[in-house]
Amino acid sequence: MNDKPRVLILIPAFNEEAIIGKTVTEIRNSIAKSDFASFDLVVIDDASSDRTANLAAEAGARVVTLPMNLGIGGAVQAGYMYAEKGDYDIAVHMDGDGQHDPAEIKNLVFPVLQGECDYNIGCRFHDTCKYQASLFRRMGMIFASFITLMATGVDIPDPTSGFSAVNRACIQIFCREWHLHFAAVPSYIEAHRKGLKIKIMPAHFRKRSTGYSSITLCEAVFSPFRIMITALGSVIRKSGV
Amino acid sequence: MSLTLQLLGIIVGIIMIGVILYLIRHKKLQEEFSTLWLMMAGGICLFAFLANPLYKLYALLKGDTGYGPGILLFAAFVVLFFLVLFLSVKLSHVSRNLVTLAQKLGILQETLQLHLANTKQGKEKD
Repeated sequence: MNDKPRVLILIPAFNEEAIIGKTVTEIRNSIAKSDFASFDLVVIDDASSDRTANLAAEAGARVVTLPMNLGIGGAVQAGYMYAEKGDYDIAVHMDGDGQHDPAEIKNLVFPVLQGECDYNIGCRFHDTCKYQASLFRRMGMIFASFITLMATGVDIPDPTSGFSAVNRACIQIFCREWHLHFAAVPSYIEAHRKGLKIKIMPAHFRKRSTGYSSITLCEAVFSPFRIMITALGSVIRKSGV
Repeated sequence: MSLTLQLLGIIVGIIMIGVILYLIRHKKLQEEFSTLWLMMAGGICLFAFLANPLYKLYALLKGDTGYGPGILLFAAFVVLFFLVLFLSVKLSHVSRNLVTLAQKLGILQETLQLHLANTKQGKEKD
């Protein structure tokens, strides 16, 4: 009987055939060295039109192929649903584009396992990481960060990092309360509302080597309004859990 | 209201009811929504048939200096606003259900594939 905590690494991916195989292999190699937990890796293929699902499976990941494109929010929630169904203790959300360093999974998971926090977020803006975001993206992040601070009192300098670890309590909440657009900010609000502890951890992000960001210029322009409405909706929404 | 306009209103209302019934019959419109549209079509017929109450309402809204048609248009706008809002609520509900369905389908497919692979492995071992 394996008593190790079970960790699910979930990677939403849409048309990432150029990098997904390498990302999965790199993560698998990294977690193979960790013996403090039992890891599984699932790629949520968001109805890609390329070979993302095949290449991820060939690299050794489990693959959930969505029958239609739901966007990154829907794909991530599918990952949390998979974690809840599989009775995992912790779910780690990583991007499929290779920006997140698999070597940091351990640092991200450990505080959650130790009970220091329920929701640990990897943050790319700190002294030792010189990550450069585009102006629009940076503005959106500052705005999202401000909204989160106003709604929860928690300062999250990198609200769209997409690199996080959550425990069972968060998984259960996110399976039911999850926004499909700009999901990060409402997820912080929801976790905070449920009395769960959010922690920020410095993390190293690498430059995206291929593909494109899920945030288009049009979305970047309108994102402040949408983030505001989404956050407002999350604050005033009746809780379903 | 002239007789021609009254007749036109009644004919338009009847055509609307006919179209709605046709859509219900061919299962292209659910009862839930058809009730609303039938009420709208019935309202047009009723107002065209009973023009006098509409005139009285018009005179009441108009007052001494007001512009009656504008007020009636505003009332129509409010009705349409709530109609579109109602449909948006329904659309949001359906859209969310569709997302949940897609997520569950994806997870079930993966579970099934895993199960089949395990069964195959077990058989090969035997």
